[in-house]
Order: sequence, then structure tokens, then C-alpha cells
Amino acid sequence: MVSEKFAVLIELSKRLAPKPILVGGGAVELYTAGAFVTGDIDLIGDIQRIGDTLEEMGFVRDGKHFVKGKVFIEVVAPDTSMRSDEIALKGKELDGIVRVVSIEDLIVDRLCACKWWRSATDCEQARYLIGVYLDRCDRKYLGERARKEEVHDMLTEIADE
Amino acid sequence: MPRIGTISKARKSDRITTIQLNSTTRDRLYQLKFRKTYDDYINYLMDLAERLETKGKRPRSEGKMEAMVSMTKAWAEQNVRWADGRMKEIDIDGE
Repeated sequence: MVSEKFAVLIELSKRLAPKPILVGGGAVELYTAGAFVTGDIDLIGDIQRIGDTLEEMGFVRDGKHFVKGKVFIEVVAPDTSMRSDEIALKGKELDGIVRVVSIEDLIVDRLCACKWWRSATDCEQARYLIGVYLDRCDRKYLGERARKEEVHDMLTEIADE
Repeated sequence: MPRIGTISKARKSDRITTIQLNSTTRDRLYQLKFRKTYDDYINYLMDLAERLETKGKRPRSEGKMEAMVSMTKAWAEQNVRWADGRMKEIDIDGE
């Protein structure tokens, strides 16, 4: 599952403190070992600092979007309500620490998109992440976040399947 | 100044593109407006289409979700390491 996207994320994370947070489809791709593939990287962090660093790395800026070759990055404003984890990515060609949205927050994010936007892909991704990680994740925190976002009914329904 | 007939003759001798202009004229007109070559723009659109096509792509074995979840769960048990209840390391080359 080695990907140019994750190589860029590792390089960017080496250059920045605090590290940007991988969210969205890129996080789903990482947590599902590429079962779901995304065309871009969504990051949370200080857009000015991330943007300046990406430009040093050869990316071309277009507002909050950055492009280099086939790698497309979007930087969005910080979301203080979510938890993230520093995760070491180890591989033959990649080695580095990145910050990724927590599995619990990612599940809630997908459940929200499933419920409120009626996005079939997000429903499927939520079901997939719950199927893989429910046994390992922080159930108490997951329940609290799901209740806060009013998707606890869906979480319970999928978890009970 | 070239005569119109001369230009017409030259155009006929060129290969006409799908928008009924030869490629030289097409590129000149395009650059007047966008400062990029037409081929650059087509490549940009193709890359964009590829990105949109792959965004949120469904699992390869659609309809076999349970099997894929089981496979990914087995992968996670083998290649994702946890400490104090938090994810700490992922072996991204792991099978």
C-alpha cells in the first residue's frame, strides 16, 4: 500500500511542528490498507505554514489547494473537537511519524456524512471501519462523539449487525 | 500580407482537429486566453477526471464486503500496533 501520497505526508510532517492532521479519505485509505482509495489528501492545520512548506516542496498553490504531479492536497481549518494520534508508518520505502484523525472520530465523521448528506460511499466506509476496528477502539469516546453528533442511532445499528 | 486564398489552402493541407481547426491555430487561440497549451489543458482535465474517479472509490470486490472487512481486520491485527488503547504504528507493506 506504499503510496506517493503518504511519502509526501511523511516529508511534510518531518518539516512541521505541530504536524498537520490527516483526515477524510486519506485517513480511510490508511486505516483500511487501501481498500478505499482516495485521489487527494485532506489535512487540518495552519494553512499558511503548511502552504509555505508545501511550496518549498515544489507544490503549486491555488487557494487552499496544492498540487504537484498527481498529488493533490487540500488544507482545511483546525477542528479542535476531534482527537488525533501520532502514528509511525513503517515500510520498505517509507518511514516516519504522521498525525492522523483518531479512528473513533473518523467513524463519526463518516456516519455524519452517511446520515446528513445521505452519502452511500460514506455509509459503506463507516460500516467498513466499524467492522474492522470496533473491538479495538475507545468505545466510550466513540459513543460520546456519536451522541454529540446525533449519529449514535446509526452507530448502534451498524455495531449490532 | 497573405491572401485569404493562401491561408485557406494552407489550412486544408494541415490535419484538422476535432474542433475543425488545425492544431497550430487551435493552440494559438487557446494561449491567447489561457496562457497554457491546449495539450496542457487536456492533460489537466484528464488528471482531474482521474482524481474524481478514484475519490471515495469503493472496495474492489463490491458485494463481498464482509469478506473484505475480515481480510482488513486480519491485516490490522497483524500490522497495526497499539499502546495504551491508541494506534501507534502501521506496517504499510504488511500483507
